Amino acid sequence: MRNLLLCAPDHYGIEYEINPWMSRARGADTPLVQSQWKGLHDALSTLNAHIDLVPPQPKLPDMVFTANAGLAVGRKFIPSNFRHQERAGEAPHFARWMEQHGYEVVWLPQTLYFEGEGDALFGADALFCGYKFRSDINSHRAVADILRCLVISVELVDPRFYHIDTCFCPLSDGSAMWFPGAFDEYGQRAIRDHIPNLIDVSPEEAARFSCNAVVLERDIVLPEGAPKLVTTLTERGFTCHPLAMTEFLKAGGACKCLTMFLPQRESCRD
Amino acid sequence: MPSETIDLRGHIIDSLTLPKVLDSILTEGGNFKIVEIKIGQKRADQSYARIEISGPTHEKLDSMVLRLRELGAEVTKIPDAQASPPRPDPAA
Repeated sequence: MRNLLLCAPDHYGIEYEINPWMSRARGADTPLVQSQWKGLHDALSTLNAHIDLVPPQPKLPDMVFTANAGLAVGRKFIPSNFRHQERAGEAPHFARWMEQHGYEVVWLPQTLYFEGEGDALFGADALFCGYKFRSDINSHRAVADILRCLVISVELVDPRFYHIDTCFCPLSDGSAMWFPGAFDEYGQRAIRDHIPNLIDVSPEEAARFSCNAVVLERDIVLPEGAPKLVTTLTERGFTCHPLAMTEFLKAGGACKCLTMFLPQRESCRD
Repeated sequence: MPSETIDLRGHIIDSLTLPKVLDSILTEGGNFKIVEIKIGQKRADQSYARIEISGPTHEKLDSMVLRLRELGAEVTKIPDAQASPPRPDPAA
C-alpha cells in the first residue's frame, strides 16, 4: 500500500497568475472543485492507497497541489523553495506537518529554487529533475548530495509544462509516458538514454495534462481527455482511471499535482 | 580575446549538461578549453569540469556566461595568490 498526501481544496481558487494556465478572469467553480477533488480522493482510496491530509491554510490557494510540498525519500523530506512569493508561505506548513509525522526535514539553501516532487520524479535508475521555469539546476546538485542518487537534470522549454510532472510520468514497469516537446533536445536524449519503451503523448492529449497522473503499480489515475493514451496504456496492461479535472487545470494542475507520495521511494536504490 | 573560467559540477555526463554547455559556447561564437575534468566513478558520483571560455567581445562573453549560469556553471574565482605576477614595467 502506498501512502499519499493530499490537501482539501477549502481555500483553492485562481487568485494570482504564475503560469500560462491561470487567469483570474476564469475562476474555479467551487462545487465542481469539491466534487473533482473528492473524485480523486475516492479513486485513490479504492486503489488501496492510504491518504493523509495536510490542513489547508487560508490565503494559500495552491496548497492543494501537495506534489509541490517537497520531496520525500525514505524518512528524509526536502521542502520546496518556491520561486514565486505567492506560494512561499506554503513551505513552513508542509515542513511542520512532515516533521510532526516523523520525517527528518532537510532544507536546501534559500538561494536555490526547488519545487519538490513537481520537478523531481524517480524513474528507472535515476531521479529525473526539471529546471528553468520553477526549479534551478543547481538545486538538483544539492538534492543529489543529500540523497546520494543519480539525478538527471532536464531543461523544460514550454512554459505550459512548467514542472516535469506535467509532461513526464514514470510507470511501474520501468518505462514512462511523456510529451517530448516539453524538453530541449539534450533533455530528450538524456531521458531516452535512461528509460526504455517510452510512450509519446500527442500534443493535444499532453495539453489535457494527461502526463500528470498518479501511478499505483498497474493502476493509473489521470485526467480525462486522452483516449489515445488510455488505449496505449491499456494495451500495455495498465488499468486507467480517467477523472474530471477541469477546475484544477485552470491553475495548471491535475491528478499528480494534487498528490505527493509519502515517500516517493524508500531509498534511491528501489 | 576576452576569457573567463567556469566550473561545472553535478551529473553533467548523464544529464548531457557538459555537451550542452560546450555546444552553447560554440553556437555563441566562442571557444573553449577543458582545463580539468573528473568523471564520477560510481553511479551516484558527481562529475566536475573546469572550462576556460573565450568570446569575440566582452559583450558576447558576458551573454555567454549568463546562459551558462542558467545551465549550472559557476564563474571560477581564481585566488590572487595563484594569479600571474605582474610583468615588470620595461620603462622602470
